[in-house]
Amino acid sequence: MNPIVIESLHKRYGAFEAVAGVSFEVPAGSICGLLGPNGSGKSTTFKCMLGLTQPGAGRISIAGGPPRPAMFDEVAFVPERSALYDRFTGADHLEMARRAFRAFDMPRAKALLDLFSLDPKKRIGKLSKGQRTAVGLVLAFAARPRIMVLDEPASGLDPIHQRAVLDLLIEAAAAGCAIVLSSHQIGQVERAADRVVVLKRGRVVLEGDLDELRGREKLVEAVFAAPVDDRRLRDDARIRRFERRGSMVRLYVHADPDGVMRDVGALGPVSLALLDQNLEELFFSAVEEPRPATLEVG
Amino acid sequence: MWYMPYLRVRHAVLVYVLIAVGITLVAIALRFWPGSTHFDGHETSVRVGLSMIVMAATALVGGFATVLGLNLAAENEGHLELAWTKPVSRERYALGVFAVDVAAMAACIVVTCLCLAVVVDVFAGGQAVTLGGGADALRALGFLGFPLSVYAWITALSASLKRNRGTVAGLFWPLMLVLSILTLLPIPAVHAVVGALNRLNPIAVFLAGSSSSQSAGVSATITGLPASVTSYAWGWVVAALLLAAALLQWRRLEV
Repeated sequence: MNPIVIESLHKRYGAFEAVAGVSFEVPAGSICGLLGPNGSGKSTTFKCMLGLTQPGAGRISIAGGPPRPAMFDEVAFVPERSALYDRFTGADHLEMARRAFRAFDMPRAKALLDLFSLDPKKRIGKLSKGQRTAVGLVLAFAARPRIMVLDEPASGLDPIHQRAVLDLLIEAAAAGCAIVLSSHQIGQVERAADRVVVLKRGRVVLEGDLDELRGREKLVEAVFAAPVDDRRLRDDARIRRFERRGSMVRLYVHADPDGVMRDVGALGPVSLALLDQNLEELFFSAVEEPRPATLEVG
Repeated sequence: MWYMPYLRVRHAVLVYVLIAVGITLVAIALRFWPGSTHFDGHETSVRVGLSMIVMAATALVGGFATVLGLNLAAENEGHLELAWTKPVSRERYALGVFAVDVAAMAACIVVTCLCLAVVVDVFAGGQAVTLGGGADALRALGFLGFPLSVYAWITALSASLKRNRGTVAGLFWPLMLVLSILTLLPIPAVHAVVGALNRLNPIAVFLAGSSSSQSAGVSATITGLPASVTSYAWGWVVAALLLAAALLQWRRLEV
């Protein structure tokens, strides 16, 4: 059984349905990016997973059972907004964690403090937003968990430390940790994650293995020196969407990309390329309102 | 489980002890200031029972208990994600907070008693504090429930609050004092209502109970015990029930 299993999760706040039937699984050694616009239900899903809020319906299995206090010896959580105590120092928080978690590794914690250039003697209230995030990450990674739940783990960090976080995530996953993280920085998720779940208004609108999703639809980009008769392409059943911006034509192809390449090549473009969709394209295709099949600009 | 609550109260206890010791030193200095007067315990037979010292100490620590009673609510202001993601149940966590806070109150009572005893002895010329008999010790034990009762009230009233917990602490004392004073009004209708409310009022139950006033607590005729003992026992029971209510609220909180 996978370390993280969510089935038909529902959560309602009054009349507002924050999560409506979310299901996904994260196997050991996998990094799953949970993406979605603000208010799409990412943080609520995390809270339900960790037992911080009671779901309306659905099944949650974390570390082989429903959310329960004992699981936190194996599960680490970094919330979106720092929950650290402003009055206490980083060292106080490390000592708290050492006493609370059986597997907490103090030498590793100290090494991570160095990695994030943190002074453990400073009070949390004196730290910047990024430094607070970093202290939260130090506590999480030093506990050597089997499961990590990270809500915007790189929030406020500078690019160097963002990269360090991604490296730590990849290293933890390589050691068998199941990780689920949310981030608005899609590029970061694309670098680290091997799976994605995209939420929109509390529902899963895209889910799966990232490589498989990328390969599911191809992009054909062509640049023409002069206007061409592209009417056939606009009506082609293999092409989901046709975009023309000036001399550039972009086609979203969901079937027979090689055949489409041949047909576009016959029109005599000055350049022609067949591309995988990146995560950003997949994300916007999934969360944006349905667009007209044809777009012409310029 | 213990460490975070310990860190939180450590500073508060230190400040309290410094203030108590500071006031004691000032009092001693005033006693020996040229021209100051004092009672001689041997000549004037000034004797202060242990229960009086404990009563005064618990009244002072009651103020400190007001601050400590907000500790559980303080967790609810942005720290639950940290507090509840430890391998400890919510109940155990809250009980840990209670235990550390009660230990802090106990430490402050001991320090305050020592300071008061020193001040009384210095002003009364030595050996003015008497241990008294069994009844005195029983009364002293009963008074210890006063700060616990204040703590339990504040905790129960604020456990599920995110903000405004300071308002609870700010309104608690004026409300309880007004209720205590209203019992003195010679209006029977008011007396009946206020008398009933005062059965839950720590000031009425513990401090007024020390005078064995029937209006302060549960009638002694129910148990056949002295009125003060019955009042104190009732106060302890109410405190325990309030802490249980706080625990229930804490369990049901959501982030």
